[in-house]
Formats: sequence, C-alpha cells, structure tokens
Amino acid sequence: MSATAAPVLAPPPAAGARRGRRRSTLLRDPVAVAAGLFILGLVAVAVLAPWIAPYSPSAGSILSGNEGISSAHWLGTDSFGRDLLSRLIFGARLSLLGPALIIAISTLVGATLAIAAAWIGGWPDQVVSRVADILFAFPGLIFAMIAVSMFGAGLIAPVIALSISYTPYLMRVVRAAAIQQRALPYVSACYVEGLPAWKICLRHLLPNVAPILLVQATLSFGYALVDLAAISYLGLGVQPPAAEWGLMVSEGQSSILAGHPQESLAAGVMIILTVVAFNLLGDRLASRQGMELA
Amino acid sequence: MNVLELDALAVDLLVEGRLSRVIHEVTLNVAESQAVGLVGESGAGKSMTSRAVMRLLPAGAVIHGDIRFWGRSVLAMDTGQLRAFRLRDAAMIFQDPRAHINPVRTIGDFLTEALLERGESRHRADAIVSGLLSAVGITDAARRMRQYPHELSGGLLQRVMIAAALAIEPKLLLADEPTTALDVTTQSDVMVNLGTQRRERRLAMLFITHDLELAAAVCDRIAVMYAGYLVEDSPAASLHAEALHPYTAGLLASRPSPSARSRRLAAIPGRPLSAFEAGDGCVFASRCPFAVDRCRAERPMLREFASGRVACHRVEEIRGRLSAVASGTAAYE
Amino acid sequence: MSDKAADVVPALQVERLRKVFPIRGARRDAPAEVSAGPGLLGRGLITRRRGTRPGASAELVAVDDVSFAVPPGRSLAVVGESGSGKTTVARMIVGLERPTQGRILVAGRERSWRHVSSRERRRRAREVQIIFQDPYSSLDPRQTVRKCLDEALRLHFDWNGDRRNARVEELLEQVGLARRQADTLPRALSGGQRQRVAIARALACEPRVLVCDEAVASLDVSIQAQVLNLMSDIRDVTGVTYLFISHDLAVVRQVSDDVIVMRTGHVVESGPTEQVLESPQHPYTKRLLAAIPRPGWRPTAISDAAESTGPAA
Repeated sequence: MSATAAPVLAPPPAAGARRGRRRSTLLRDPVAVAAGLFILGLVAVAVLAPWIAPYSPSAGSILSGNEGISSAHWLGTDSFGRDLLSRLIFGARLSLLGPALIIAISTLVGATLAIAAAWIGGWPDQVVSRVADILFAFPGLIFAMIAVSMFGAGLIAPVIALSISYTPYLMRVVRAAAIQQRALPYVSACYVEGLPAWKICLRHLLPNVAPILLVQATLSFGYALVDLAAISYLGLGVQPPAAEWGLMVSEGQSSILAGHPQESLAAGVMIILTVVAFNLLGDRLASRQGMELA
Repeated sequence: MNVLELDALAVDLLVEGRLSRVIHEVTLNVAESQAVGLVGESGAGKSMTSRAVMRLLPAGAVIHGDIRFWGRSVLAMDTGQLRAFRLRDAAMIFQDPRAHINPVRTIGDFLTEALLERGESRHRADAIVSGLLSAVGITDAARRMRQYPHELSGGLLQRVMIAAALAIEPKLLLADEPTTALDVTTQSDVMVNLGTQRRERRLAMLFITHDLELAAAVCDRIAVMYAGYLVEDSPAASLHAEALHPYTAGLLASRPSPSARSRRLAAIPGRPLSAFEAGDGCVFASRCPFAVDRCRAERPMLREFASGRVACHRVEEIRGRLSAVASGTAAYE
Repeated sequence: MSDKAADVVPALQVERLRKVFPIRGARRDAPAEVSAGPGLLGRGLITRRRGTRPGASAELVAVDDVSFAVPPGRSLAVVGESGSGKTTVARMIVGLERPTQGRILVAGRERSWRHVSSRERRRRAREVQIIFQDPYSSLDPRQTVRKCLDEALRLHFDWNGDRRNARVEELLEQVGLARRQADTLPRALSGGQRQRVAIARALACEPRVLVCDEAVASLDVSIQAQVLNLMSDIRDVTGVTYLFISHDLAVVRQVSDDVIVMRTGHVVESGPTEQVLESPQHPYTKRLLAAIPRPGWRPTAISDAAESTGPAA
C-alpha cells in the first residue's frame, strides 16, 4: 500500500484464557454506538437517495454555479450549479459500494486462503505467505493505476486491483489467529474425534477467528474508501458526471482558489467522517476482543 | 510483635463495575522465622491475600481492616514508604517465573536491579548476587548472570527468582505457589533450598499453595481458606491427626496416596465456591456432610480451639469423626 | 504386563515406538513438551547429523524404543516428568503425531502412518479417544455442550435427532452433569464441569481405549477426587481400557493396574502399579516416589545437581 496502510492486529490471547472479564455488550459503548449509527445512517441515506435528495445530482446550470449556502441549496452548489447536498447523498452510493466490494472480495478470498494455509501448513502455507509478502510490497494505488491503464477507468478495474491488494492484510491476520486456534486442544479433539478437515475449518476455526476478521475488515473499510477516493481524485475511477466523493474533491479543486471551497470541503469532510466512524467502530470491536492494534 | 499481622483484612474488587468482596475478615499472624501456609482451592482468595500485603491489587480495589508489618500499617504507607517496604522489607516469589522476569534482560541485570536501586555499587551488587546464586544451588554464577531467561529451565529460573527475593534481605517472604509449575523432583529441591535459606536468615514466610500436603511438610502453621474466608488455622504438625474443619478433613481425604489405593476416593461433593458466591450461614455448608440447620443460617466465627482456630459451629461434636475422615479410615459423610 | 497376554489380544499395544523431532537452528522450532538445548547434547539426547556444523540440523529424540501392551479393560499409567516423552507417546497413539519408527496396534490391528484418509480417521476415532489436560481450552468456546456432543454422534452414528438427543442426555448423566447444562456454553462451566464434558465427548464415540493426558492435573484437589471416581465408574460400566499419562504417582496408584516410568524418552521401569510403587527398582523411580508430598513427608534434595537439569527452555 502506498500512503495508506491498513493496520495489522495482534491476535487476541488464546481462547479460554482464564480471564475473569466478561464481554460487555458493544451497545453499552457510546463511541461504538455513535460510530455504528453514523454508518447505518450513511447506508440508509445511500439506499434512499432518490427519495431524500432535494435535487437530481446532475441537474443544474452554470448560471447558478458556485453559490454559497442558501435556503434553496443547503450546502451550496458546485461549479456546474448542481446541488452539493444532493450530490453528496448520491455520492454515498458509489463511495460506499466500492469499498464494500473490496472488503467483501478480499475477506472471502483472504480468509479462505488463510484458514486453508493455517490448516495444511507445510509448503502450501509457505507459498501463500510468500505470495502475500510480494503483494504487501506492491503499493495498492500503483496497482490500481496499472489496472486502469490496462482495463480502462471506472469502478471495476480499481476495485479488483485493490481487492487483490487488500487480501494479504486480511489473510495475515486471519492466518495468525487460525494458527493460534489450531494449536488449541479443542481442535486436536475434533481431529481425533474423526471430523473431516474441512468441517473442522468451517465449523470450528472460522467462527473462532471471525471476531478478529470482523475487526480487520471494519478497519480496512476506511482505508479502502480513502484509496478509492484517491483513485477517483486522480480521474482514474468513476468518471464525471457521476457523483462520488473523491471525484467531487477533484472537481472542486479549481473553485477553491476562486474562493469557493464548498465542493471539495464538503466531499472531503464526508470522507473523513466516514473513515473515522469505521476506524472507531473497528477499534472498539478490537478492544472488546482484548486485542491491541499492533 | 509479629512480622506480619492481618487484622480483619477484607478486600473488595471491582467486578463489572460493582464492588464484590473476595476476602472476608481474615485475621492471621506470622511471627519471625515462622512459615505459615495459606492453603485453598480456586476462588479461595489466598493469592489475593498475599497481593494485598504487597498492595499489588488491581485498580479500584478497596481494602478494609489492616495489614501490619512489625507493627507498622502497610495500608497507611505513602508512596515513598511503600517503595521502601517493597525494596527492603518484603519480597514476593510468583508462580510462573517466566511471566515475572523480563525476557530481554540478562539474569544478572534482573538480580542486581533492586540492589542498585538501593544504592549499592555495581561491584558489591554483583558479589552479593553471586553469593546468592550459590546459596540457591546454582553453580557457575558468572556464566549464569550473563544468560537470558529463555536459556534456563523452569526449575533454575525459579531458583533465580528466589535468589532475587533474598537479595534484598527481606524480613518477610511471600511465596505464591512457587513450585506449582515445577516437576515434583525439582519442587523437592527448591523447597529444601528455600527452607535452608529461610532458617539461616530467620525469615518469616507466607506460603501460598493448593497442595495441603506440601504446606504441611514445609510450614509451621497451616491456614485454610475457602471462598474468601479463613476457616482453620492450626499447627502443621497436628494437621493430619487433628484437622479441625470439615473442609480441611475433606481436602486431606480426597488426595490419593502413593502408598495405597482407596476403593473410592472420599470426594467433597459440589465444587469450590468463589468468595462472591457465599450466601448466609457457613460458606461451606452446601458441601459439608456435617451441616445442620444452624450452619446454614448463622455464619460461624473463627474461634480458638485446641491448638488452633476454626470457624465451625460443630467442631466439638465432630472432632473424632474428622480425624478418621482425614486419615482415610472413615468416609466423608 | 499380564500373565495372560499371550491369550488375549491387547486393546492397545505399541512396539519399539520412536519419535525424533528435527530441530532447525534456534529452540523456537522445538515442539511444545520437549525442548532442545546445548546441555542435553552431552547426554546423547540430541544427535548431530554427521558432517554438519554445530547449530545446523540436529535432532531431538523425544521417544526411544518404547513398548507396552494393555489388555482389554485394564489400565496402564505412563509416568514421567517434563521432557520424559510421555505426552508424545499419547499423541502418537491417538494420531496427532507420526511415529518415526515402531508399530501401534489397537485391538490387534496395526495402524499405518501412510496417508490416513478422512474415512480411516473416522474409523479410528471409534477405537481410541483422548481427554486433554486443560479443560479451559479443550472445548470449542463457541459451541454449546449439546452441539459438541451431537457433533460426535452425528459423525459416527446414523441416528435421527430424537435418538441423538436422548443419547446426549444419557452421556451427561453418565458424567454427572445436569440436563439443563446441555445448552450452556463452556464459559458458564467450571473447570471440573468442562472436563466432564470432555469425558462425555470422548465417550460419545464409544471407544475401546481412552487416553487421559494429565486429565486431572489442572483440577482442584476436591474435584480431582470426583473425576477420578468418575473414571472408575466409567470403567466399571463400559469396560473401557485406560491409558493414563501422569506425573503424579499418587493419582497413578489410585487409577492404574500397571505402570511404565519414562525418563528422557526411555522406559526405565515397568510392571504392576502396586509392585513398582511398593518396591521400585530403578533409582529414578525411587527419586520420583521420594519427592511426593504426603503425610509424614519432608522435602529432600534428591535430583541431580542444578546443572544437570540443563538450560532447556
């Protein structure tokens, strides 16, 4: 990864460690609740965009370009006269969809590879780990740019490239946790009981590494969002006139010098808030599991 | 005057935001040169008691009663006095040496740390420590001091811990399950060594263990704890012949013997309670085969009896039966 | 072990069992219960492969030339301290480690170590089961007791849901647990209760041989007594054969008919438990016996000088 690197977690102490601490529900944690509600709200806004947004994201005339905050336009307009609030609302769709796809793919592939590698061990594990090491060395953004140059701009190429780039992060964390779980007697007991390997992995290893997987996925979401926004900012992601926060930051750049920072600022703030929300949620999930951010 | 006096010591710990009592009014004395064994199973509160003496309790803990060292209250000590207490007067030996020693520093660094802190010169500290290593049975001290913890076996490391505890020439030794993690042959060696050192230096020791037989062999008195309460305090010599509390008798009876097989072990029914599970009445009543209604309603106070103290309403009546149970000639019922 | 060994097919038999672990460089590659260190080199435990420089591939002999046979329904204890190899022997018998050499026979049928298929492993599960030492990590923390037992039953028996449920309750009763505990998670259970669940799980497979790897060592004394009694009861009811791995000679006296004493991978003494413990022949057995706290005992300096325990991790 280039400028941004997803954090790597230290695995939690072994299951069944004799700690008196009982798991307090996440719901009692105000920070987690706030972050969670914000995210849910954002998702709701994205889904309900056509009904919530006051204007169409593409409607506007240059004559009303770069207007400030007014009763007609709560956040003002961009240089093309389009309502910023509406563009932000619709922008949530693409801005959230991209990272969601990235995380979904990298989690699925990463977790599968990690658990399999942890179980099989030996040279398959070595191969997978070395491939992951190579991918780690590759900056995600560069990878995405290469993908775009080969397959064209838009959402697909960067998403696939970043999915590949994020997989090692998920994989490394899950693999460490899976190896730790595998060493525990309950896994040996399942083995001696005669349970087939795939069932042990699916029914015992996976549920016990799921918490750490969830934390890593949540934290990575924020970074994926920033990475995709950067791609769009560079003009390699979604193309105008689509509404997407990264793109909006880029489009509003020229207006800043003219004294109209609202487009870039609004979009930038949305990105920041969303990333912070995911980070806070991930961090709270992590401390609930007793893990530390390495 | 005693080296250590626990005076109606009670400890409340913060559990899920609420204070829960884990040690209930423990009164116990340790005299100079005396070894008192604090024995109990899980949840008895024995480890917590020793930590309370050093004031090493978790954040939010509340201590009631008093802990006195040569008459001075440990609880009333300010930071400076407490530091001096831990640096000169009392030393603690923990169960798992590997968890209590810094893996990235040499044995020599570890052993001399407290001495240097006290102002000894490096040269003198090294000399003292070399002497100590020999005293605990580790030859070739110079080489050992340059080694790191991972290069030593568990038994050797525990001896190092003992040396570290003795280095500051304390008056009080708190040993928290010091041999539980060791092989039984190593345990024997370490206990011999500890005993010699203790007698030579006239050290008072509070020896915490779950192993009643071990405590009876190495201590002068045995204090038995259950669910946060002190239920018996007797001389070790008479323990087997004259266990005063049904719980003690039960513990003695449930241990298998290497010299004979029982047809069936006398097992105490149920499981050891933790301090916060204690209800009204005697803590042990739910598992005690001698319990009557009075036991369930009224908590027995610790009182003098024969050569010790016991918290049991029926001690006079069941005396004879308890001795039979403890020696295995009668069933635990 | 027994006079009638020739007539009866032993439930469990091992012949010249040997396990060697290769060590690469530092001790971090050494397996859990046996460790390597330069101190052991002098005692012939670690052998350097010819022609290699020191520090290059060395080997640790964890188990060397161990043989014993256990008649059906009897119980054999394998006694030793840390590094004796007793746990490695147990792990080889249940299939968690592959022997380097030697044979393992269960009910007369040899277990091969070529690639063991899933089906074969399932079949073997009906022969030998194991109970581990630590009750806090030998149950899946996310599985209720019922699911845990049910999983074993579904794997081995072609029964419908009702029959399985009935069997789960039967097993719980057999190990002294209440029915309502079937739907609890392990974290709501005490150490002794978890160990009972582990025993129930092992029994669910209806094995011939039950390997208990320090199964009571982590339990409180009063609970230990309960579980030892339980194990006797189980033997009376099911006729299962026990292999007890333990460092505690008192426990061994209580539960086993025969005993073998191991030290650094070798068997130093074997025989009927009563005989070995009443009149031990080997100096190591004598030392072990002399080290056990019991009424009237005092600690004595009995093991070799501190140096010989070696700088093993």
